[in-house]
This record gives sequence, C-alpha cells and structure tokens, in this order.
Amino acid sequence: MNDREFSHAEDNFWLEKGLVQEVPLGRHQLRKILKFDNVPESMSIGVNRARGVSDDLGVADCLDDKKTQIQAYANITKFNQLGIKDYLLGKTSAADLHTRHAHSMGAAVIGRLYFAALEPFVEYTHIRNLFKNQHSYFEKLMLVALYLHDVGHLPYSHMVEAVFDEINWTRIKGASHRHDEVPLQQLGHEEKSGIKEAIKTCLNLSTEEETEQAFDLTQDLIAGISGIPFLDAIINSSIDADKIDYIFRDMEYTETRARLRNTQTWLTDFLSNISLSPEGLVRLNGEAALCTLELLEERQFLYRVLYLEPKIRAFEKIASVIVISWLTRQVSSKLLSTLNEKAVSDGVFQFKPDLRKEKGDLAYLLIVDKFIRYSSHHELTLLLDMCQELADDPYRDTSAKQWFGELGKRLAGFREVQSSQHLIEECNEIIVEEPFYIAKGRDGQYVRMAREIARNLYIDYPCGVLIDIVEFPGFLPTPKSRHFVAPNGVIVGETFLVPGEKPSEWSRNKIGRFPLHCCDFASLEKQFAQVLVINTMPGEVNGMYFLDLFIRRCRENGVKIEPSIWR
Amino acid sequence: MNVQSREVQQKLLGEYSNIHDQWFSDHPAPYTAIAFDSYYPEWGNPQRINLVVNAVSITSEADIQVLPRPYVLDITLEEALGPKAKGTSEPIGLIPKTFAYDEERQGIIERNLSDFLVALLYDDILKRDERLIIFQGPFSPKLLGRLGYRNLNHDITLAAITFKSEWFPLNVPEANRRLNQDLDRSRFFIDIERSCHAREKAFYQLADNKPSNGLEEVLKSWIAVNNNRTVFILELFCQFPSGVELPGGRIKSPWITKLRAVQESLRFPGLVFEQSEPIWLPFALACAYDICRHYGRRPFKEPESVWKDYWEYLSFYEEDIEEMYRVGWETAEVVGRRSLLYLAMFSPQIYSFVKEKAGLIPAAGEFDRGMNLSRAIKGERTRGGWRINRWREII
Repeated sequence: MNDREFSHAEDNFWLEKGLVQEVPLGRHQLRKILKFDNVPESMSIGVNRARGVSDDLGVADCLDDKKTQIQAYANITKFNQLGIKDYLLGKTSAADLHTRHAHSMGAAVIGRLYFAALEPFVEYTHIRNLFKNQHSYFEKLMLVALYLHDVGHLPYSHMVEAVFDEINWTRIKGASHRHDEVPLQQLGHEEKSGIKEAIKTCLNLSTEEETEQAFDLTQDLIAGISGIPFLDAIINSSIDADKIDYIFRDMEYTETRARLRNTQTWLTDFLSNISLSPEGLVRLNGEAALCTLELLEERQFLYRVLYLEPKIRAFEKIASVIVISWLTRQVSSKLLSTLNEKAVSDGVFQFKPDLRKEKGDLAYLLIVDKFIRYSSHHELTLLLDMCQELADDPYRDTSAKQWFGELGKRLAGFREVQSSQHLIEECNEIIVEEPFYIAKGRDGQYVRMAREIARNLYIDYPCGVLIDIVEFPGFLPTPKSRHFVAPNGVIVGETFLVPGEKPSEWSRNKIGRFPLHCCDFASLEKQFAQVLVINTMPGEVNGMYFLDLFIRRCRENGVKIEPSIWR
Repeated sequence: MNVQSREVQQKLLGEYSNIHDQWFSDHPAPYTAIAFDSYYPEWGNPQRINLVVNAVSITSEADIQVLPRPYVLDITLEEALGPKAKGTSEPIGLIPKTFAYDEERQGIIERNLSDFLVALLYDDILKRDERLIIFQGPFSPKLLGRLGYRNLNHDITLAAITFKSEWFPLNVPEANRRLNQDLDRSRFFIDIERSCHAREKAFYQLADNKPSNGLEEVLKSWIAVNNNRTVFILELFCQFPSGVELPGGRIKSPWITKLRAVQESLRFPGLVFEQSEPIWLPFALACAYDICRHYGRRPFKEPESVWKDYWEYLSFYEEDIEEMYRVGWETAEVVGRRSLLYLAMFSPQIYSFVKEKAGLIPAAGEFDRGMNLSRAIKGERTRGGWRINRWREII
C-alpha cells in the first residue's frame, strides 16, 4: 500500500502545530510479532492543511453547507471545550479557539490516521466483503460521525450533564442525559433532515432508502454500536479518536503534562503497532498497548490536576448552582404553557411516563437561545447574565437575590485575568478545607447517600455553603451502549485485544489477543468520590461548622470518609 | 359565584360570626389552596393512573375563585422507565407500594405531581401575588427539593395539610403520636378551638411533630389532634425564616406568624368527610379537594366506613354530590351546604331553619337532631321522587 496523504481544513491543533504532516508507520516490529508479512514494512501517512477547497473527502464542506439547518452543529462552533475552565485559568484568548467544533475537527484528523493505519488489515478479516469497494463510503461515514459526535453538547460541557443528572432531566427518553448517547436522537426534525441531505451529497447517494440507511449507520457509529468493531473502536471506545484528540489538546492548551511521551512519537508508536484480528477487533500489539496505558494514565492524571482539580471544581460548583437555579426558574414558568400546547384536550395532559424529557428539551432551548442570542457566545457572560436574572427574580427572597448578586461579582473578577493567580486567591478565600474522599460503595450507594445529605443541607441552609461531590472516573472509559446486562453480570461488547490480563505484563513483544475489558485495572483506579466544601460567604458564614455537620451526618449514615487517597 | 353559592356562603359566615365575634371586622386573609386526588380511568389497568389537580382561591371578601376546570394528569407508567437517577429524593409513597407500584413508579407519580404543582405555582398563583398557599399534604420530598432550589421569598407562606389518614404514617412517626397525646408536654399550643366551631366541643390542638425527612431548619410540622385522634398534620416550609422584632427587642418567631396565617384560614372552614370522619379544613382547600375527589369516572366504589346512625342524612348528601357537580353546582355551594348540614346537628338556629323546610320535630341535642334529619330525609328518599334540588329547599 502506498503512502497516504490527506488534506483537512479548519483544524487548529494537529495541523497548526505540524504534528501530523508526516506520521511514519514503521511496521517491522509488528510484522515480527504477528508473523505477518502482508503489510508493508513502512509507509507514511500525513495530513496537510488543505489548499483552497478542503478535502477530507468533502465531508466537512457538505456539513458546513447545512450549518443553518443543523443548528446543533452550528452551536458547537461556539461552545468551549472545557466550559469555564479556560476562563478560570486565565486562558481567555485560547477559549475562542478551544471549541467543541475544533475538537471535532481534530478528532476527524485522528480518525483518518487511525483508519488509514488499520485499512491494510481489513482484507484479512471476516468483514472484508463488507468493505469491498466501499472503503470510501465507510471512511466518509466515519468522518460524519466524528464531526457530529458532540452535537448533543450544551454550553458548559459536562457540567450541564451533571446539572441534568442532579435535577433528573433528560433529552433522551428512558435514559440519562449524556451527549454521547444517541446525540442525533435529540435533534429536531429539521436538523436530522439537514444531516441526511449532507450525507446524501457527500456519499453521492441516489435514493432516500440509501440515505436513511446511511443516517442510521451514522447514529450507530456515534453510539459505538455499528457492528463493525474497528470503526466503533475509532469513533466511540476506550481509545477512540475523540479521547486521543481531547487529551493531547487539553494538555497543550492548559500546559499540563505528566508522563505521556511526545505527541508525534506517541502517534507513530501507536499507529505503527495496531492491526486487526480476523473478527475485525483492533489488536493493540507491543508498543501500541504501552501507548494505550500511557494515554489512559495521562487521562487519569488530567482528571486529578485539571478536570477535578479542587480550585476548578469550586467554581464549577458555583456555576452549576447558578445554572440549576436559573433553569428551574425559567422552566417552571414556561412548563404549563408548553403542556397546554400539547394538551390532549382542555386541561388534560398525557404523561408517558413523566416530564423529564419535556423539561430537558425546554432547558436545552432556553440555555442555547440565551447563549447564542444574548451572551455573545461567552460562557462567563452567560453565567453573569443568569446571576443578574436571579438577582432580579421577584419571587426569590432578598437574601437569595443578594447572594446571586455576590456570586456574579465573584465570577466577574475572572473577566480580564491572564493567569491562574486570581483563581488561587479566590479559592484561598472560599475553600473551607482540603478535599476529602468517600468510598463509592456498591453501585455508588455511599455517593448517593452523601449527595442526599448535601442536598438536604443546601435546602436547609441555602445561599451559603456548597458541597461538591464528584466521582473519579473508571480507568477504562466505555460507552454505555456497549454494556449488556447478562444474568451473571455486565458484559462489554469488546473492540480491542491487548497482550494480556495484567497490564504490568504487557511488553513490546506481545501480540494483542486478550479482551481489553477483561483486564484487571483495579490497582490503577480510585474508587472514590472527591468532596469539597465551599463557603461562598466567608466572613458571614462559618464554613467549618457545615464541614463538620456534613461529615457527622455522613458517618451517621455509614459513609466511609478518607482524608487523602493520594498519599 | 352564583346566587345559590352566595346564599349558602352568607348563611355559613353568619354561623361562624356567632363563633368569631369579630368576624366581620376582620376580613380573612386571602389564600389559594391546591388539592389533588387520583383514580384509574381504565378498569383493571393499574399502569394508567389519572391525577386530578385543582386550585381554589379565596379573597379577603370571602369570594371563592375556582379554576374553570381541574387539570388532569393522565399518566401511563410504561415498562421502559429508564435508569435510576443518581442522588434524587426517594418517593414518600402516596400510592401504596404493591406489585404494580414499585418504588420507581411511585416516584414517577410523585415527580409528575410535584412538577405540575410547581408549574402551577409559577405560572398562575404567584403571578397573582398570593402570599399564603395551602397544599393538600404531605409535602413530598420531591416537591420540597423543587421548592428548595427556588429560594422563595420569606413573605410567601407555603403550608401543607395532610388529612387523609392513610398518609399519616408517612409523616408522623408513631413515637411522636404517643408522645404528643399528652398535650401538656407539647411545645406548641395553638388555640384553633374558635376556628372550628366550638359547638361540637371539639377543638384541634397542635402538637409538635418531627418527621424524619432530613430537613430540620426549613420545615416545621405539627399534628392537629382532637380527642386523641389525629385529625390532620400541618407542615410549613420556609427557607428564609426571619423573625419580626417586637417592641422591647423581643423577636417574634416567623413560624408563629405563619401558623397564625394558617389559623386565619381556618376561621372560615369547610367540611370534608374522609372515611366517614368529618374534617374541617380551610374552606378553599375543602372546595379544591371536593372537586378532585368527585371528578372522573369511578369504575368501582371506594370502600365505605359505616356512617354513624345520626349522621345517615349526611351519607345521603355524599351520595348525591356526583350528580350535583355533573349538573353544574358550584363547589362553594356543595361544600358550604355540607358544612351547614353538619352544623345543623349542633346549631339550634340552623336546625330550626331546616326544621321549617323539612318538617322536623323539635329536638333537644345533637343526637336527636341528627336522628330526626336522618329519618326525615330517608323517608323522603324512600317514598320516591327525590331530586337533588330538594337539598336547596332544605337548607
């Protein structure tokens, strides 16, 4: 197979930093491990910036042409990838570039490299007939899926998902609200039509039936359940293009790095050593397995020092309380008229079974509308606007209105910061003590109990102390759609094979033949949730009292508390 | 309000003015009451349940304002209920737990009800600047959670009165009930005797209650007891209770102020029957509940407790209520007339008025009055030709 070169437009990370212009795939070691000579010993794949009209098989252009119709796709060009973290860290200038759309473009770049690295092996798998003369078709659909994989997102990223979780709203009937679980299902009819038209154009399809099939397959690809294992691996799996992009991107933008090897080296080593099993599963052989471990460990590190860092969490908790208060207020006053529009007859409303989806949909429209139309596409400005509205709410108590006003002032202080120094100073004032940790317990029972205690404290003593509780993620992220409940437990639909059950025994000479999800990562995981007590009114409220009260109530309910899990 | 309703109301107010000497000089505080009830629209299908919700307001001129029609929440409890939500409150159990109503389905019903009540609050009631809102209790955890995120003004009093006896155990731990039967030890002693017609020699005393729902500062609860029987449970919710400073520097507890507001509403009570026991509630709440209770198709009759002999005429009235609503009688008239009929046992003035219309013999006490009324009305109904308008002629 010859060297491959693609061109892409609009990616502001991989291309701009020249990280993927040439990725040499040296397969000498791989051929040795696999005892397989049917792939070239070396080849080069590279991605260059498009000159004039973008290439990427025309997919980006087709989607861009329909941007006015696919509103959710247009929206992600304005949502920051990290919510308000960039503003808190004083990286305001990077915030405009660090968007969900830019990340989707980056994921598409990685996806193409991933696909190109695995493509030579397809003809030796059971799915070769499926791909016969259809490589371009599947590659284009893969790109569509990668460009659209985050369209379910709202401003503030995962914080809003946590908000929806806390108040039990959703946009997907019968499921919790997650951007990566059937995002296209959340879209309106007009948006779905726009996507179908874009697919029809870029794949050059002639019939409506073919277009519907391609659209359905795109949905399945995004959910990671297409049935084509290596495509699912590229788009939604434990080591997919999405994760590779965001981990490297977030490290770069926030200047955070621990132990991961140099980006170009990582890409070369990873892509050079992956292959396909006869079933179409991705083998992480030798160095590829070691690269995977490093990437996932880096992800854990990013969670510790960035995503769940206490200083960041303190202000994200404040932001989430503002968003919850605003959303519940807005939706309350509009819900009855929404129901009236859908009434079966005068005053009779049908609920099947409840209003979670209606509230979620209403919340989506309200928050996106406010962000796009009134807040200049700026997450911080949106929060300040919300604070102002809450401070002006005629039904809210004066103390609460003053409190939201004070929160707004605190957040406004981040408008012009250029470094994280302001964040440190603010947190020194409001964080009561260092975070402590609670064991998750069976099925997260202790975390649920702690959340209930925290909620009752918030209702009992409002507008003062906030308690943030966040779980550390598992070491191996897996889309929920690939979890299947069996009589003897949960089975995960596998897409990767690794050198062995114990990661400590993986080495550069071993072939991937063991299912990744059967490996033992227990020693690499922290089965804890981090708890942080935040006093938003220092000087007026005694934060230590509430810290003690919370701990006492947790202990009374059997919740185990650890002061530290890192030392 | 139509002519009949106004006449009944005037008569009732006249009776209460004999109890509350200063009735006409003190106008009742306006408030809105919200009540609900449930029924099964499809015989034999517990997966479909209807909640009827109604709101009734009473102005300071004692004018009753009812929603044009009650809201009906037609809930289908589908099989695929979705993943259990993290960290949300548990249902209190308004629908008893059975094989058809596991915890998740109970949660759905309570969630829908709470959502609707909050929507009604914001889209209608608060917009009218209402300051006292009385819910049919109990306050479910889901409703409290929703209210907790909204930080309502401390001027707005949210009260819940739980009067259906099957829900008492949800909110009154047995230990509290036994403890509070000895009322000398109660911390709170609010005299509502004069609110609920002293003629019956029944008065409701309030005793402290500490339900175990985790909220200690923003939710206060009392049991209203009559002759060692729990009549209703009163809950008050306020997230920003601020006291009022009195001359001399003392602080008047905000909870006392709010209790007094509820007491005000009970100075004009209306009667409902729950399992054949009379319960006096704020008039608007009685009206709101009465509409919900009699709404909708009832494929099977609710089990009836035995009516006392001398109350039998009241059971006849209850039997006719569905028809009254069907032909368009206003709830103020229905509830008001029920209240008057009950009072006829205890009030010689009301009895003498009824006596003229129903041809009754004089009677010395409530037992005789009740028996006379029961015999007379039973006799008329047995002879045939009974029509519901006869109630309008009797009282």
